[in-house]
Amino acid sequence: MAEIRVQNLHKAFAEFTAVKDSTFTVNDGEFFCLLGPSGCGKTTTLRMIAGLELPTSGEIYLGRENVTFKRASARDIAFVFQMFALYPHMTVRQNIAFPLVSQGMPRAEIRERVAQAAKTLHITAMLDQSVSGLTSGDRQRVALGRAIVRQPMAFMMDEPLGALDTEFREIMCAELRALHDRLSATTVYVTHDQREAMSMADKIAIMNQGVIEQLGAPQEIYERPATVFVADFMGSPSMNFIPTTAALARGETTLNIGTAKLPLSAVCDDVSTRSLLYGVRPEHVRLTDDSVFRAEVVGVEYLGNCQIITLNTAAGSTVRAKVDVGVHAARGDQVGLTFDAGEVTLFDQASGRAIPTARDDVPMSLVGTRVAAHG
Amino acid sequence: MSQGISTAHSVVEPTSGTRWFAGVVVALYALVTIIPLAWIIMTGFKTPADAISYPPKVVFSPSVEGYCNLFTTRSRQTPEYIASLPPANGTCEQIAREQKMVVAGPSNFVPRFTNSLIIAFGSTLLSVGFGVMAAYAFSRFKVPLKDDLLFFILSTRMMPPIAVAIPIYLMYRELGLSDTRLGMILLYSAVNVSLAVWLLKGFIDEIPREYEEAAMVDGYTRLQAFRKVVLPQATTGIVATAIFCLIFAWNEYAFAVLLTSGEAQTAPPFIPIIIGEGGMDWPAVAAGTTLFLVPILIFTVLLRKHLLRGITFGAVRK
Repeated sequence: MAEIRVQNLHKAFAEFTAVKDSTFTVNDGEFFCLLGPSGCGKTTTLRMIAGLELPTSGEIYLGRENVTFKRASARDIAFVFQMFALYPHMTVRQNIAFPLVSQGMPRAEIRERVAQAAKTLHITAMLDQSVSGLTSGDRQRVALGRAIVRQPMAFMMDEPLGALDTEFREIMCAELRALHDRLSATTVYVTHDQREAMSMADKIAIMNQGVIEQLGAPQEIYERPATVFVADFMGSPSMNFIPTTAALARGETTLNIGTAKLPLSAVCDDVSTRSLLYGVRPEHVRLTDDSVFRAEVVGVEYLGNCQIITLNTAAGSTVRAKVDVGVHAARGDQVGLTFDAGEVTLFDQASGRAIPTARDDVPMSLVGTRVAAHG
Repeated sequence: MSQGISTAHSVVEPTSGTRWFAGVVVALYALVTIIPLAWIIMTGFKTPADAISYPPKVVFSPSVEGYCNLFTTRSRQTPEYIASLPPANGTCEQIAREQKMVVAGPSNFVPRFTNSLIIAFGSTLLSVGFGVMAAYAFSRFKVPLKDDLLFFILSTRMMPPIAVAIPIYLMYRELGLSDTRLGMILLYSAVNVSLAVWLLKGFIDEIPREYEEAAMVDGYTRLQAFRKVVLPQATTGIVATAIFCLIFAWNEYAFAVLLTSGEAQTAPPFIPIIIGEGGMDWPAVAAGTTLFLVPILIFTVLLRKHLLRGITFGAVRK
């Protein structure tokens, strides 16, 4: 196992820049997720680390070794593909043994290693079957088997659960994370599914149009999004953005929107007059009657364990609230909305970046306990 | 209620009526194609007299004279000479003696047939071999002017190859390739390789790149990945292409007539000119034709599973 260091990685195709100047480090044994919408450059980044694509510029280190322009076969990295890439003309056993055969390992040892990998993944019973008869979940296990049997320095996974149905995806999510913990294997995992990333990753890099927008632990990314894109991409339903134009003095703790004064954590620096977005997650919107920030209920979605209420504010923006099923709301109701200063992120609309507030100085772990106490 | 409408059958499955109709059409077509074939096989077992009798004989007493005449050359002898010979050993000798002839030696059929086998299989091997490599390169790599090259390769098939017969004849004479097996192998390969590239490119395009990428990440070079992963996956396509190439090279007549006369002559120009006494020896020609069908039949039957899958390639997602 080894750490992976990516420095100023850049990849341009003919008329299209896939990855722009990415720098990040995946620590030894870390489960690292590259998350983003399709076409954001996450798969290209992964393929460059694996050696299936060569960067235009930049450097990639695997452990201490610079592998930037090394062949894929010389990198000691295992790759799990979305479509599994199991060879249909081989049995499960031959598929798993395939990487070992290339190393010229003695047969007895190959048998031993394959048996061990199969045991880890509970696929011993199907070792001599043909891969074409397997269910997609089992194929995924075989693909993982082919990856772990080599005991490589790192694992690359390109949406490995993308081809599975929802039910199975959750099971494999848990299995994959358990497998990672058992092997303590450095893993780079590409996905466009925020739930997969949130549930498995130690660290997430959110990519958009070839740029890493934010790098951090799942909680950090969710609670303190660095950009509007991250805030919007993470969470379902996504964060509410209430637009306004205002200037803020350093230390200001309220923002005027219409007649209402909405709470903020103290702003770290003076903010000149500009377009701002007041961002708050749906689960942090509360419906109360005594607030002066008024909105009309335009839709109610009952989801069993909660309900999503869609509201139109007096100022004309749409806000979605995720509230308890006990809260009574019906279309046409006029309600007031309140927010907690600690849950609010303020964005500069032009740059898309979050405006630093006093909240950012509070360590994440404290936020964690506070949120836990809330719930 | 939907009374009177039978919902027992699926709307996408053909009804028994359409099935029956399709069966009749297939049977008719089979009849049309099989009759000439059956006639050839029958003629092979007729005597020369039966073969040219009018009205044609459908019922006849079978004879192997045609096959004897195909494999041997005979010479007419005086009855005294024949009477002086020891008793005939072998059916062919006996048939010859009845017509006041003796078997003088083997005919050229076996060497010509061998030429056909060597040239057809040799050129198939060559065109499929080059074809699969070129197709892989076109499918996977950024080749400069790829589309133009592919069009150029295809364009070599846009006119009948025989249109360039004279330049090829002159070229072959200069190069000393006239009437050589190598010359014929090269010629048929050159004609077939364009077909092979195009067909195989289609098959290789369908093999996901991830297969090779997985192999390369797992420590194999590209060439090893090609051999261990791409080739087995492309078997169907390779077999289908090989059959097409083989059939062309096996049946080719025009170039064979033009460029071969002795040493390297193939069976197609040889069979139709088997002359018996007083004209064409039709049973021998028919016997030669029947035997000529056999190798392709064996090859196709052996590989028919791949062929059926191969011809419908791209129609159904794997």
